[in-house]
Amino acid sequence: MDKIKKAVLVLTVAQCIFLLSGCWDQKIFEEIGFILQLGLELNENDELVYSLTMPVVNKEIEQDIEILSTTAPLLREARDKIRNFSGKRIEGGKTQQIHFSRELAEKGVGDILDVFLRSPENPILANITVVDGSPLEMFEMSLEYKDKTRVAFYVSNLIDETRKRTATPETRIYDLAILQHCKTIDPTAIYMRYDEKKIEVLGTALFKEDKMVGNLNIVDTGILHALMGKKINFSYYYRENDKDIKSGIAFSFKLVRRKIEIDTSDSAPKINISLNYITSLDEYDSHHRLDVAENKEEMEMKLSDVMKSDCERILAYLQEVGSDPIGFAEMVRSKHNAYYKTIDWRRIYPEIEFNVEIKTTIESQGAVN
Amino acid sequence: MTGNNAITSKQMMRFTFVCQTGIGVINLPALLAKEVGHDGWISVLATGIIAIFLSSLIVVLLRRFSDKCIYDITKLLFGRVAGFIINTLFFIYLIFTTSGGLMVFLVYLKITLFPLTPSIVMAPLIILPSIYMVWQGMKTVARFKMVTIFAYVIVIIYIILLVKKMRFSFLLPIGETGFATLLSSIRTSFFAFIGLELIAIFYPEISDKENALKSHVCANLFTMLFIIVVVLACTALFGENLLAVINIPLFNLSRVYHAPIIERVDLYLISAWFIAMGCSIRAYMMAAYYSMGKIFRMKKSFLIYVLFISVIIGLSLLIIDINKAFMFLDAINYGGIGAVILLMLCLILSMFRNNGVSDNG
Repeated sequence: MDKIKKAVLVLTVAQCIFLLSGCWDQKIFEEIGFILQLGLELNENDELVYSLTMPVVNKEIEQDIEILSTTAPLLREARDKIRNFSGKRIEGGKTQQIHFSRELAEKGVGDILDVFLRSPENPILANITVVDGSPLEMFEMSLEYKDKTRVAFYVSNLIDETRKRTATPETRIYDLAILQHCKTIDPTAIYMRYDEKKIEVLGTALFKEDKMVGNLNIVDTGILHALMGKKINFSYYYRENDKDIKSGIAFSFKLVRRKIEIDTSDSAPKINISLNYITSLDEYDSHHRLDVAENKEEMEMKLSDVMKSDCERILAYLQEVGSDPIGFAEMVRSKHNAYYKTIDWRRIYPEIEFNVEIKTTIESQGAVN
Repeated sequence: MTGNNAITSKQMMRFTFVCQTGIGVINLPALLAKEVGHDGWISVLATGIIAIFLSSLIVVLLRRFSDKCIYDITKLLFGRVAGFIINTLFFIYLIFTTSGGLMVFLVYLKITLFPLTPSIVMAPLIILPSIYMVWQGMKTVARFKMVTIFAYVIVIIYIILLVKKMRFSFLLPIGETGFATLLSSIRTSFFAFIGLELIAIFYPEISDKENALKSHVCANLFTMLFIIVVVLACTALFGENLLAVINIPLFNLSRVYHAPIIERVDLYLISAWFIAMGCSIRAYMMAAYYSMGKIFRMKKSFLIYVLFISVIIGLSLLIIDINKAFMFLDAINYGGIGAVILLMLCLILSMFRNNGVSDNG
């Protein structure tokens, strides 16, 4: 080995010894407080209240979560204020959910979550929810849920399970950011409430740009997913009469084909929506026999009619509140761009004429005819 | 051709491809979104076609002079003094491009992984493998490019995993931005193709010159296809409006994927892509060091090499502001365009002056 090689080797090793012995950016696990949930709401003075839950792993402490809150106009400022009394270095890298109070959501979420996009340390996969009430109160109330896991995990599981049944939308920070910026599709969020016993997912919070303007229930959320052209997996309960104690039929909707045609020949566009559902019958009152073809066809027609009226009701509601989560504006912008540029979409949206066609096919009726 | 620098045309192809894509692709989707909205991919396609045409012409020029590199050609065409000045400018361009690449690498590291670690500590560590490989010669540098293949595979896998989340309506209507705007955006897109000129430096070292044209065209074709895929994916995922305000869209792309069990999936892509970025910087560092020996007739010297590395690191530490770093890259882009113009000028001049042109050229 010649001198140069030796020198390079020694210098390299020396550099590694001096420079790699530590790291400027290291974070000691034991010294960190991981934010799992973040609550954002307004207090009586219209100040932004920032609350969070963190897991407690110390055996000496009875509580398994720690709840901290403060007021500050910026998220980073609030985090730093909490660091002043938490005794830990608070980090947001593990944040699972961000809960907005309905009051704040109705005033507009704006770019409150800028810090999540700006700093790669923060996750942009945290779920966005709107709470009917105060997120801080929800966290505090959850301390009394003796039969539930830590509230962050309880809510995470709740969201995952309801999302699998398309009972609530999948809205994460990046979804919200994308839709807020695109201007042609309005965002949605998970809508939930709480009480002394439980936290409950109610369906979908509807937004008009950055402001919450309404909400849909669990079943309507499933239909909204179908209208959005997304994967569906929801139960639908058809009721013929309410006289019996047990009444109605339960259907499981798992597959839909959506077709949308937009006619822009008039001043307000006409939109034809065709939904072709494949469904299975899960529960029935056994008064009818579905192995008779006529009975089954009649049932499919009745179901299509009631689904059609539900779709029309949902579309009318979306028009009424001015929310366009299905992205009709995006469809018109992308496919009828010249027309889109001549109109004020927000003004024209409530005037759109929807023509809905529903076809349902009962593919399976279980082991009983 | 010397032993440590001899390469095949395929190695040169990988060298050019990694050099072009390593740094340019990270923020190009955002720059194009600002300029041409959702039509960025058209701009890349147009620029790619131009780059393929120009790269073919460069190889045609080099073929005319057989075993000569650009530094010999300039002296033959412009005379000794003018040739030396042009070559020195070319060398300065290569030095600044290496430092610019390192500068941007440091900026990305600060944003993504190491906000507190000082640049002066990170810079030598980043180029430590390059210091070794460049000293060993072009053959080692070119061979190592194979290692970066997995970084590209990871990016493609991420994009495939994210397809379901993309809204392809964000790419419509095609060509909305208009011809004039698209035309002016070619200058921005060209940054991703800088590196096509490096073959003019290493051409004498290519052992199978008969395949050089095909390989160089392929390198630019693959660059074009890869960048189009990334620009399409970023635009379809983020939409042009959000994309325009993100400064590292490629890394943000990886933050969007939600994987079960594994958290911070983005770190895998970022870490893998750092290898590609390192290789991109190394390509220019190799070109600069090789050029130094050619232009100034310097023999391999440890002292000069240390000085050379110090200059590169020193220049990369001059700018720490991200906006200024991107402005610096913009200036480098003009340098790259200038280098290509010089090569084209040489080709045209070689049509009229047969000085040094080989018999079959």
